[in-house]
Amino acid sequence: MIWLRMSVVDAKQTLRDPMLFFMTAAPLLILAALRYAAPYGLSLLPGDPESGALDFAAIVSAVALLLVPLLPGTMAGLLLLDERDERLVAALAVTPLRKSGYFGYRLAFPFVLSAGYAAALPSASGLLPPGANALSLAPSLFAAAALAPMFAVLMGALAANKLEGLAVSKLSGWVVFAPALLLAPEPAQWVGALVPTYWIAKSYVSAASGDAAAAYGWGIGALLYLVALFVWLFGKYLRRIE
Amino acid sequence: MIRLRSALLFDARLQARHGFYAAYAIVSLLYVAMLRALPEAWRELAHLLATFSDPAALGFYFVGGLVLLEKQQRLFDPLFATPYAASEYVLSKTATLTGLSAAAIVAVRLGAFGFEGRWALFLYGSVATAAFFTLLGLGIAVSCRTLNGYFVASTVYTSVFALPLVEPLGLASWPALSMLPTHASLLALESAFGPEPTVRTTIYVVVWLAGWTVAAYAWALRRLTREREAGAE
Repeated sequence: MIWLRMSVVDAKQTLRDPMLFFMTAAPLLILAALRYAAPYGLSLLPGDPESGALDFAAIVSAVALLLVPLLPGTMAGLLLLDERDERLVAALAVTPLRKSGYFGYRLAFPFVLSAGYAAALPSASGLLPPGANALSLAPSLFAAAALAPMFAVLMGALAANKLEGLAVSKLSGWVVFAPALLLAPEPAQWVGALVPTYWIAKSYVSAASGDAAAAYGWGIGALLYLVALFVWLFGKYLRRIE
Repeated sequence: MIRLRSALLFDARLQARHGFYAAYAIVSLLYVAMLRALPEAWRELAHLLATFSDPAALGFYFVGGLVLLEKQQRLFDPLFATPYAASEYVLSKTATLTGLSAAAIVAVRLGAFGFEGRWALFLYGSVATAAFFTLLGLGIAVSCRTLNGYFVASTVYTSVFALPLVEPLGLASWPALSMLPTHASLLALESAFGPEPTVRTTIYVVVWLAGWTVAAYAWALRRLTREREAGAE
């Protein structure tokens, strides 16, 4: 119930401060760019369009998938920082919302939003082959959506205040380019396994090329990695607000 | 002069402590790696787009945080009760962030292309663009309360000033775009590897960017003064 009431408050605020509108609208722009601009961009690629064109299309589509949670997640992260700097978290902790409710609300919203857009992305992209197994795409789509709360908590955990948060967000955004590593030769690209977005990209591109087993393997790996990372970062964040 | 120097030192130290320099050292390396990995045919366009949208505009991104943190720590009023003038506040923030921008831009270009190409107009355009974006951000930030509010408010401005990008992307070309300072910025950045700029283009770039930057300075200063007066009431 309290989430509903907070949503109403947030929705009212949207009318005055269009931030939530942006959070909601920005991934739509990414989907539109993927649908209408990406095929044109890909058609400009040098070389034989038959060879490797699918690889490029799947990789562009994977970058777009990872871009979806970036903005909602970063905006949620900035909110966490603003609200911590203003000592609002401590104030909310003594309301019926409690601390857990506050975190749940701040982190669940960008996740749900990103999940919705991520689910729409493969069909919106038009870049994946019609044979791509929809179910084998699920782990990578779910993991991509889970990146949204991850970006937020990363900023809250690593940054002491909003200034450091901006510096962190400048760096964390780069992980969306991890799919480009798939173009590198095999042993060299494994360095990408350090970032969870590489696992997500592996899973997504495997699903797109019809390799369901690899899609599940990398996808479940990505999810486990994300959960471990989240627990660690969330603990760091909690210690910062106490 | 001594006051301005200590303000510059203070701002530079603050930015270093909050990881701005470290972040941009890594970001610059990532850009160099990306540009070097790209096919030859795309490298120059990618360099232009990346430089314009990131290191040249980093002041815009960071100045919002700097101003908002100081506002929220209620440093604004006591700060200006001292002999520290509003103009020094604006100049110091602009100069330090412009310095960081310029360093990142040069590092990325040297790392990706070495010394080849033309430098003079490119450097002038980089510095003027960085200063312009920082001043623009400062002027917007003084009346904002939260970071998200700042970024939302700034999209109106950024989408207008990003419009000239349609030209290097080959999407459109409108004469009216040359009214925007960022049209001159892009010409300056393009001068690095494109055909040698004509005297007319050079004069346009130099005068137009300088004019817009001075105007942005006056605008930011006025916004800051007004905000302080409103806050004092």
